[in-house]
Amino acid sequence: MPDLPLTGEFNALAFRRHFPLLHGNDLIYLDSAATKQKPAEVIEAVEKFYSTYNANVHRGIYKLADEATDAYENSRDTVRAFINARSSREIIFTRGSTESINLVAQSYVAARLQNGTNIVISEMEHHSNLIPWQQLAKKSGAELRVIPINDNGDLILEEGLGLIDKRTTIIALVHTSNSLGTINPINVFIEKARKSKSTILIDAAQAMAHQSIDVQALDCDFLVFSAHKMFGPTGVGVLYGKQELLEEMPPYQYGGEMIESVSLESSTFRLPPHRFEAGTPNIAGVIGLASSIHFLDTWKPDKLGSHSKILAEIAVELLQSIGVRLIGTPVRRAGIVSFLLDDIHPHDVATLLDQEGIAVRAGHHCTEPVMRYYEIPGTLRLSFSAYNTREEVEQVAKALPRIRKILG
Amino acid sequence: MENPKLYHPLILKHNKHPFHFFKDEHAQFVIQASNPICGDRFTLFLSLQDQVISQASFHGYGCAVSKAATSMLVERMYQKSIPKILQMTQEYLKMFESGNQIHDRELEIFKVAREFPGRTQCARLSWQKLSEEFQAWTQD
Repeated sequence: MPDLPLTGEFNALAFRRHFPLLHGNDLIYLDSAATKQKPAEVIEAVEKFYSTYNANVHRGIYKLADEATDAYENSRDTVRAFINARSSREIIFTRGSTESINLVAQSYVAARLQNGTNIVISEMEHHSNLIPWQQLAKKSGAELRVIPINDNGDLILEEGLGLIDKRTTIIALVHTSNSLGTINPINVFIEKARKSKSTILIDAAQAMAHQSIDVQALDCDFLVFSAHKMFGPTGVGVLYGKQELLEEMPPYQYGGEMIESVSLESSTFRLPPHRFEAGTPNIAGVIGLASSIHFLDTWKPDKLGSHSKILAEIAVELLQSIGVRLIGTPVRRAGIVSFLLDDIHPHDVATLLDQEGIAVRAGHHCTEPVMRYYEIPGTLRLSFSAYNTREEVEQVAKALPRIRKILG
Repeated sequence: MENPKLYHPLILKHNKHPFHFFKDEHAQFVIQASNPICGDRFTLFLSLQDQVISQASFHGYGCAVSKAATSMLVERMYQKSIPKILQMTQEYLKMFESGNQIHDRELEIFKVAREFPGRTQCARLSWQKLSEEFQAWTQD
C-alpha cells in the first residue's frame, strides 16, 4: 500500500449517520456530483411543511398561509446569508441551475446581443451552461467564444482571457467541472470582466457543498446553483444576481404571483425577486434548501470539500497504481475523478461495479465537448461527498483488477 | 463478481473477437446504429446477391453487450433474405418485452439485460436499427 495522506480529523462515519439511505447500508455511493444523498434533517423539514403548515404563499389571509409565506421568505434570507449577498432581493428561486442560466440568457443577455458582440464560455461547460448560449448566439448573430482546455483539463488562461473584450456581453463560466474535477480560477476571469465592463455568470452547481462562496467578495454578477447537489431536494435552485442588474431585467415567465396589477389590456410587474417567480413556487423544495443550508452551516462546506478532495487524491493514487487512464489531472481538483480502464467501455465497468454494490457514473456527464477533446466516448466518474470513506475508495481499487480480468 | 451475470462467456467471446469486424468499402448498403446517450456507434456493411445477404461486416465502438449483440447479428445474416432477417430481428426485439423463449436459443443470453438498469438498449441497438431499416425497405 503506498503512503497515502490521512483523511484528517473529519469523521465521515459520524457524518454518514445523518443520511437514512446510507446509514447501515453497504452501498458505496460515488455519484454525488450527479446528486447528493439527503440528510434526515432535510427530509424532515420537507415532511414537516407538508404535514403541519402546508399552504400557498403570498396570498392567503389566514395564519397557515402566513406561516408558509414566512418559511418561504425566511429561506430566501437563509440563502442570502449563505452566499453573503447584500440583499435577499438578489435571491431568485428557480427549478435549478439550468433554469437559472436560461433565465439570465433570455431575460438579461438576449436583448443585449447583436452582430459584433460576443459570449464567452469554456470548453468544459456542462451542457446547461453551453446550449443556452450557443442557441442565443445562433439567433442573434453574436459570436460564441470558447476558452480552450489543455490536456490536464485546465483552462488555458492566457488564451481565455484574450477572448474577453469590450464587446463581450457575458462570460458564463463553470466554477468546478463536473466531469474533470477542475476548480477554475474564476477570480481571474471576474477581474477581467470588471476591466472589460462585461457581465459574468458563475455556474457554482458543483461548488456549493464543497467550499464557502461569498458573492460580494467574488464580485460576480450572477451565480447559479441547485439545491440537490448540496444535500437539498431536487427541482429547486437559485439565481443570485446583483440587484441593479435584476431590476433592469424583464420577467422571464408570466403568470400569478409576479404581478402588481392586471387588466385585460396590460399588466405591471413586481420588483425582483418576485418578478421572476411566476406561479406557485416549489415551496417545500425551498424550505428543504434552507434546511440543507443549515446542515451545511453546521458541518462547514470547506471541511466537507476538503474531505472529498482528500478522497479524490487517494483515488488518483490508487488508480494510477492500477494503471488506468486518468481523464483530467487539473492543478486544483475537487472531489471528482474521471478515468478509463484500458479500452473497456465505461458502461461495462459501471455495471460490474454495480454488481459489487458500487454506484458510479459512466458516460459523457453532459460535457460532450470535453469527451470530444480527449477523443473518447465517455469516462467512469467517481465523485465523492463527505459521507464517503477511504475504505470505499479502496473497494473500488480492489474491484477494478477483477473487472479487467473479466472484460480485458 | 464470480458470476458476472450480464456477461455470458459467449458475449465476452464476441466482445474480444467480434465476427467480421471491419469496414467494407465495397458494401452495397451502409447502416449506422448509434445511441447518443452512451456514445455507442456501429456501422453495418451489407451486400445482397440473389435476394440474400452475401457479405456482412461491422465496425465501430460500443460496450461488450452492444458489440457482442451486433457481432451475433452480423453472423446470422449470411444467406438470409431480408424478410427472413426482419422476422429474426422482430422476434429478438420482442423477447425483451415478453421475456419469451425464441427460436434461436443462443440469443437468449441477452435476455438478462432486462435486469440491468439502462442496459437493454445495448443488446437492442443494432438489431433495432436494422429492423427499422429493413421494415422501411419492405414497405417501399
